[in-house]
Amino acid sequence: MSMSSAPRSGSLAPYLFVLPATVLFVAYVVYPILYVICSSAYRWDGINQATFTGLANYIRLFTHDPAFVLAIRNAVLWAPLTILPQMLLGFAIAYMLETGVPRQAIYQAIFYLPAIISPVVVGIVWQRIYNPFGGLLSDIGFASGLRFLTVPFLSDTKVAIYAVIAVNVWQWTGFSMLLYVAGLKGLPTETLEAAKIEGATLRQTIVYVVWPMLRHVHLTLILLGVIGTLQTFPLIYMLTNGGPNHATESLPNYIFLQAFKLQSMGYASAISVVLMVIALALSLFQVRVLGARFALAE
Amino acid sequence: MATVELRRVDKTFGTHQAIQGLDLSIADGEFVALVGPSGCGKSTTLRMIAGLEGVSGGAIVIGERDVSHLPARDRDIAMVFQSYALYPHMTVAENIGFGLKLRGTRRSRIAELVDEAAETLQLKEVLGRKPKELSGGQRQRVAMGRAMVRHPQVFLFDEPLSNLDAKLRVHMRAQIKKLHRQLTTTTIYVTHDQTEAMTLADRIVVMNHGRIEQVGTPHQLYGAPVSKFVAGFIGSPEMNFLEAVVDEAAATCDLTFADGSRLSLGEAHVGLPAGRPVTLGIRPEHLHLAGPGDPQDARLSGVVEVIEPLGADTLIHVIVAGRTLVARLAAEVGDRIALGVDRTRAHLFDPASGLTL
Amino acid sequence: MTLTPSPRTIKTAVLTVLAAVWLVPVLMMLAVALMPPGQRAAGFGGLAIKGVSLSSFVTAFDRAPILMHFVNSLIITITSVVLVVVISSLAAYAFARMRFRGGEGLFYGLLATLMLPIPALIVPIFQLNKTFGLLDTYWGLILPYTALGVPFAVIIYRSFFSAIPQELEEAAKIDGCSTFGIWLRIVMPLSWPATSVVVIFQFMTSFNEFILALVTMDSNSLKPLTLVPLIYAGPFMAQPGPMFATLTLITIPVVAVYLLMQRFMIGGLTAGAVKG
Repeated sequence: MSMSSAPRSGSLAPYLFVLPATVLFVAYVVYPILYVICSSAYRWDGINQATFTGLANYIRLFTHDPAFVLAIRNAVLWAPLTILPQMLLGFAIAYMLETGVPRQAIYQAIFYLPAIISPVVVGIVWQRIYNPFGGLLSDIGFASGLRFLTVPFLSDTKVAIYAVIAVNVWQWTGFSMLLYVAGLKGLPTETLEAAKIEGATLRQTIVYVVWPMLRHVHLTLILLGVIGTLQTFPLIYMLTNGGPNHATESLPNYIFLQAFKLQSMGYASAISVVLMVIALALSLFQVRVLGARFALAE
Repeated sequence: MATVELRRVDKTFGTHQAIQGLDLSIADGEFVALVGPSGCGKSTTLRMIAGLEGVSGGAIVIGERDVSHLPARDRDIAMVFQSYALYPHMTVAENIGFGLKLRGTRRSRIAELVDEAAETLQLKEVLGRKPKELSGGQRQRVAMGRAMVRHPQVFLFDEPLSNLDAKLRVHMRAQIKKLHRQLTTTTIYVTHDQTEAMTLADRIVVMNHGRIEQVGTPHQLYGAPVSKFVAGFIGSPEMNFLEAVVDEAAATCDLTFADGSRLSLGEAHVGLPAGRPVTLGIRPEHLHLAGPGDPQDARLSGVVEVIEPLGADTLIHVIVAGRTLVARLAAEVGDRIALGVDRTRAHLFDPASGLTL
Repeated sequence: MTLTPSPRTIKTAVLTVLAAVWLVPVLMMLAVALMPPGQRAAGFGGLAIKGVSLSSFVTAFDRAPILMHFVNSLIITITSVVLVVVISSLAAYAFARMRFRGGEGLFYGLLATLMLPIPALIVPIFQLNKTFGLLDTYWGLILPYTALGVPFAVIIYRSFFSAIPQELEEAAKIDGCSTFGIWLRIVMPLSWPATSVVVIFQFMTSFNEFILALVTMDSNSLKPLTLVPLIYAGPFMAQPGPMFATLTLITIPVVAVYLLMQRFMIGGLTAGAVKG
């Protein structure tokens, strides 16, 4: 830097400020990305010498792996079935809270509670709720005669994925609520008053004024929801571990299975690469085309 | 205390040249106001002196030191910001003493100095409060206290009164003047309000488009502006301007206006070639109701369109030669009146360059 | 007089019912944890217990070194929270206020990390820990937790910092602060709402994380609290009482931190944040 642009305290300052973050970023994000890309071209158990196999891992993944297909199907199911209910319920709760009820903070804490509980806890508790032998739902089912509540939710290949999705909705609705509460607080009261004066009913106010004005929150939640779908791991790992017979498999869980249970580090890396490509493509699409942002920021 | 000198100072932002070759010397203890419309470069100039902006060329010298490339903290200056910029998380006492603390002043000494400043500024009762618990005027005084307490060589003020209501502004203006008389610290004061500049400053620097238009005492700027810009900027209400053509230039200077009416300036501006277009400038206070003492050719006549009673006096808007002139005198709306022109105080400007002829 | 209930009453009723449903799993956890011994077949998944007893908690503390695991969790969590706050606020300050070569690229890089599914990095992070001898150490978890927490925190801090009036920092500069001094004495004290958001999020993620912990920690003596139900599954966790008592113990710290900082959270999310 020349002296002319200068009575700032040294042009080195910005670099010192970002140095620690950069070191961590390079070590734990950039390097791992390059690492998985490389190791996806090898057959490797993580301990012995790796053998270069080119695209073999990818070919196997796309042509001979029913578990991978199931994982993709589950992601396609998972995204709308979690995002939509979480948004609608979260908005409804936030709107009711923000338009005035007594003891708002308590309700808010109750709905947000599941989001802060460890997935280990959530998994074990819900296993008990879903347990067909003395679990909460089956007990209710037997007591009330609603027999569909007595099915073995987590071990029925047709039902299991929906059971897991329900837990996800329970866990993350509070987070949607929180963002909607923040968004509603940011709405100009004058606009709402103007709508009232123009004679809008409650339904009209919500549909034509409030909901459209929260567009940035919706987009953020969709963005986070899609990324969340592709990251879903601890919950599935604890509840079903991807079973029964991969019926609830997710890409992250499958990576873990291949890497640490089956010792196929190379194959797990190939799945990781595919997962990253899907995630980045979907996120960039939303950011670029839909204008979504991490609204927790700008 | 110290002199401040700007030597051929330039500032560019990207391709935009904000300041061009600025030269200015400020004497020790002097109170100088920088005025001009927004975007004229007055704030940029102040911020360069403060060390908040770098200079793109030239030098800034405070005392004997070239400070052009020193960080703000090493320039021994203090600044009062338009928004006051008080630290919201500190009490008034902490706000005032912060600069001293950073310089490693002993705690007992800080307390003494803060006390002294608080005494002068009548802030003693609020020393323990946070800025958000203060009134606008108190916040302004805390900002001043923070500047005073370090006894810097130069005070810099950036529109310090523009966030106050009119009454408080007049009061604080007097306070600042009194303080400067007591402390006699060299002061540079940026404002867009020419009244503030006129009442406070020893000398005023009028800036426009990144250049100095004129430097002078309030009296000089008012009486002998070098350009139409300065003439229009200084004085309230603003000077009246009328386009005209010189038609008789031999012994007296006679002007003809667009509608054919005429005005003779007598011997005040002889020597201009006939046919030359000029802009006539005349202040509202230099127009009066024509009386027997006013020669026929030193009168402008027109119809009163609007009256603005101000209490002490009245402003009237008169349509003359198709333009509205403002005069400081009393009349009734609709009156057809003749205005006598104080010919020695009329100004002529070149319409193209805007310079005084 | 009309008998239609006011909208406020309806809202309260709806919310109360919803909240009750939302609480069921947590209440069930507490109920099973407090179930007196010998009452194995309490109805409704264990919700309908008869009487209350702390004996399951006693059993849990007896059979597993709960406190040791809790201390492990605290060491890992608190270190990563402190590191995230310091590292990301420093970086965010540079991003918000300084122009420098590569700054924008780096910022967008961090932003893109938020779109990256972290499980895709678990294999290389495991290998990285192995290479640097960090397997089975606190740092083997602290460093990745910190690195993966930084991007979100940088975004929160950057938007908050951008909303601080620049004149404040200029005043501090004239008062004699260095750039670092401005960050330390002016910017950080003013940014506690952002800090509380960052602390809550980082505390939750670090405290609750268990997959990386599962593959990184070998020695029981280093394992965090979340792994307790997995490592002691055999010996005594087969009984629901002590198991659910342990789950309750895992949950208490996060809930406590959340309740302590909850009131700052919405403020932190709205102040300078959640703009179009």
